[in-house]
Amino acid sequence: MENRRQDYILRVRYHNPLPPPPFPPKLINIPNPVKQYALPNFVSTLVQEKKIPIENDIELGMPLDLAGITGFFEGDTSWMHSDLSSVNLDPIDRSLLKVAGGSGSTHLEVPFLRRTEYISSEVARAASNRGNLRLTASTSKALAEQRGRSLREVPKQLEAINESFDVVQQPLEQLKHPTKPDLKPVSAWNLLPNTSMAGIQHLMLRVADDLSERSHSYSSLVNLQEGHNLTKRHEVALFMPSSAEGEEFLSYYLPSEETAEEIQAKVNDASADVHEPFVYNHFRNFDASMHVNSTGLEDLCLTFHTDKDHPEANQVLYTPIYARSTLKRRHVRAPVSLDAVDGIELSLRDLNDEESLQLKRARYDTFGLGNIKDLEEEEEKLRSVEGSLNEELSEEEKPAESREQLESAEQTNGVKPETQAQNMSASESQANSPAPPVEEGNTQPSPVEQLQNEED
Amino acid sequence: MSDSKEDIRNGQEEDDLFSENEDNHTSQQDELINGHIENDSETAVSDDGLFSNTEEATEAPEADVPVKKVLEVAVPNFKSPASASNDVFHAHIPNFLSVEQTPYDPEQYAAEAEADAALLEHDAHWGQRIKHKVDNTVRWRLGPSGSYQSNAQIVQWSDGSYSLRIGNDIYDTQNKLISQPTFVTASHEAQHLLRVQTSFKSSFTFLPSAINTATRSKLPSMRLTTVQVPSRSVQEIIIEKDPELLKRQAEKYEEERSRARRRLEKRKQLNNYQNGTGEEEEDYSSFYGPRSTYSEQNEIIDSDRMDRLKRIKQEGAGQYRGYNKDLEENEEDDLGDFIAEEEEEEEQEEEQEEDEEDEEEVGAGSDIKGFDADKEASVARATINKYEDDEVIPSAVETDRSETVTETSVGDGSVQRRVKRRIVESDSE
Repeated sequence: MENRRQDYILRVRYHNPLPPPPFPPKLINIPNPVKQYALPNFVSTLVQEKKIPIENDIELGMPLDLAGITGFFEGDTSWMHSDLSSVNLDPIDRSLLKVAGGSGSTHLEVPFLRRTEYISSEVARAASNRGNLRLTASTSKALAEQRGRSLREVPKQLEAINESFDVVQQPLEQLKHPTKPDLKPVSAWNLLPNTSMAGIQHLMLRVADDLSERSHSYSSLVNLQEGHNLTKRHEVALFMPSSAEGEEFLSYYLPSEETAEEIQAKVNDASADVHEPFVYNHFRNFDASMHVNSTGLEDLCLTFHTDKDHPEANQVLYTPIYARSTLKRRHVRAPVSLDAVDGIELSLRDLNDEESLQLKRARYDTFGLGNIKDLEEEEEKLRSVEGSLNEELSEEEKPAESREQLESAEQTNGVKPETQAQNMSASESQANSPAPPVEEGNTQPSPVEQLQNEED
Repeated sequence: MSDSKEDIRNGQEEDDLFSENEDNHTSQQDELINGHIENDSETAVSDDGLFSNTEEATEAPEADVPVKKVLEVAVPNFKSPASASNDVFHAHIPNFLSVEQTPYDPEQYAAEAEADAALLEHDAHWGQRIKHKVDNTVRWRLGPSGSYQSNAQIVQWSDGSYSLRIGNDIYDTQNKLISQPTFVTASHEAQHLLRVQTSFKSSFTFLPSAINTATRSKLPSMRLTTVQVPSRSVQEIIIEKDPELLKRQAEKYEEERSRARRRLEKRKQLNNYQNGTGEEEEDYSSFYGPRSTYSEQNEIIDSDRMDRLKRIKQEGAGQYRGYNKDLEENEEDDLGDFIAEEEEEEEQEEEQEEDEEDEEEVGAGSDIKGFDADKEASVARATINKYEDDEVIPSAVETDRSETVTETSVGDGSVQRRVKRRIVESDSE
């Protein structure tokens, strides 16, 4: 402290006060007229700050005190309606006073609890007449619901069904495409069941594998050039269910090319001169997954029978498919049963009496065609014949038994002429059902032929 | 029966064989050999297979024995649904269409409809069921002449497309080619075989057409409404602002908050520093200690400090009650000095300013030392003041006392200024 203190020997502070201005301030004469205080601009702020104490007609002509209205509490509402008797309306103006929609009487049958969907369906129905709109599912459901409700009574349903049969009989030229007006119908086929397929179970097998040949033989090369994925051999192939170590699979058997042609000829014409039995060789094994159709009519096999001379006789015969399956290649090292069959010798024979009778029975059960009495009689005969066969095993007596069958048939025909007439009508209906091409392909002894034999 | 027939056929075959010539017999042997060769080429043959085939080949010329493990089957020649000249299509019937195989009979239908009428009342969608039964069913009936009549047709249009027509309704048909080989097989239950009848090349799919050209609206409807699978809803979180941005803002806010706290702390420290300046002043007063050689200067300094201590330590007045009288006597002396040196007030003010600057220059480290020095100085002053008081008391007059009381406040200020002026004089000397 002492050392620091000695450093400052002399301390001087200078004063520099500013002198006052040399002249007095200059006063400018600013005009301030008194008139400006009377202008509205000067008063606008005051007007905004203060409220206007004006209260004119708070009720705006609608008094809330209803006691002032005469007759209000007595139910008299005349004061609410103005007097229009003295007004002379022009005819044009008078028409505007009509109620919209007319008298309100409509032909539509409205359900008790009407849903809002119908409102949109009404509009959609009008639009659908143009043929340019695709409706939504909900609208189509609503329309279907309405259509179904209109067919509540059974007679109306019968009438609608008859109408559907009659409409199809009309000429084809009148038909128009719903969405493409420019298209014209060329030909039509009537959709009918294939009555000759009753009693036979059909399965659809889809092969998820390449069935092309592995070898380079001449025949396979020719087929490849032609562009055929499947050769004729596959058209007449055989599948056999097999099982090994608890697993089930399908074995696939194929014939040779020459044998395939012979088989096809035999199938088309039972009396073809071919060498039997047909030899099949094991080709491959497939793993199968079976799906049985619940209703039996989900999958159909449609066969088009076209008659150019008589277009009205065109038919599409549908055959129901019992089940469908997808086949996949089975692994080569998968277990194979010791009883696996390496080949099959197939013989195609005609139907025996029992099998033909079964088919007739199925045809009657499914389509209601044929006479039930005749079926029962034939069944009884079959049982008696079997009994007699069991008793007598000698071969010499068989021809005699067949002769007895024919004699008994003749007797029944003679005794019951009415049943004979029914048989004739049934035979006619059966003959008419298939189209001519089918008749050409039909090589089995049809019931008509059997009846003729009986007559002979 | 079938077994017996098979036996009969076998017998017939044997007869044929016997009746044939030798040339036919040799040709049959050749065919068998060809069959064996095909077996080799077609099947995936293993060593065992080769061995077995060789055995068969060797055995063949010797005797007419068939291939080993060969199954002999005779199956009925069922007619195929389609012959070679007909087109075959596969059709899948959707759930909004039905096919009735039994021929249509109005009486039978009426009976069934009346039986179902009671059940329909319990169904909320009974209208759709009736429409499905009446309009969406493929039917056929026997005509008057015994011919078959149908209410459905498949129509081909000029562009090659097909449509299914049921009464007044038209359904679109999609024709697709089947890429994988698909066979229609007939089941031979007795023989445990499936025989291929024909193969499919294309498939039909029926779709409901939206438009109907009939006078009434008869659009198709689904038979049964498909069960709606409950869709699993995924929770959605709506974010209006970027979460990272919010995070940054929060961090920024925290930083600003911490900074504010620091500033407050700094300000408090500054306040403490200002209080410390008071201590510095006391420290400055201690500077006069070593310069107490001059009696007059010592008197002035002591009086100044006494005044300050009086103000600061009023609370502790009880401890220093004995020294209050001494302070009053000092004031009387100050009055004399003030009257004589009025002209020098301006100079004293300048000196005060200079003193303040000196105090600021002093650091805060000397605060404690200053405090201790003050105590020692106060003790020394007390001893000195006793002697001065004794000299003054005999010459005092009552009138002088009254004057001193009125001028007490002014005297204090003058005393402080005088002290400072003298210090400056000593420095110049």
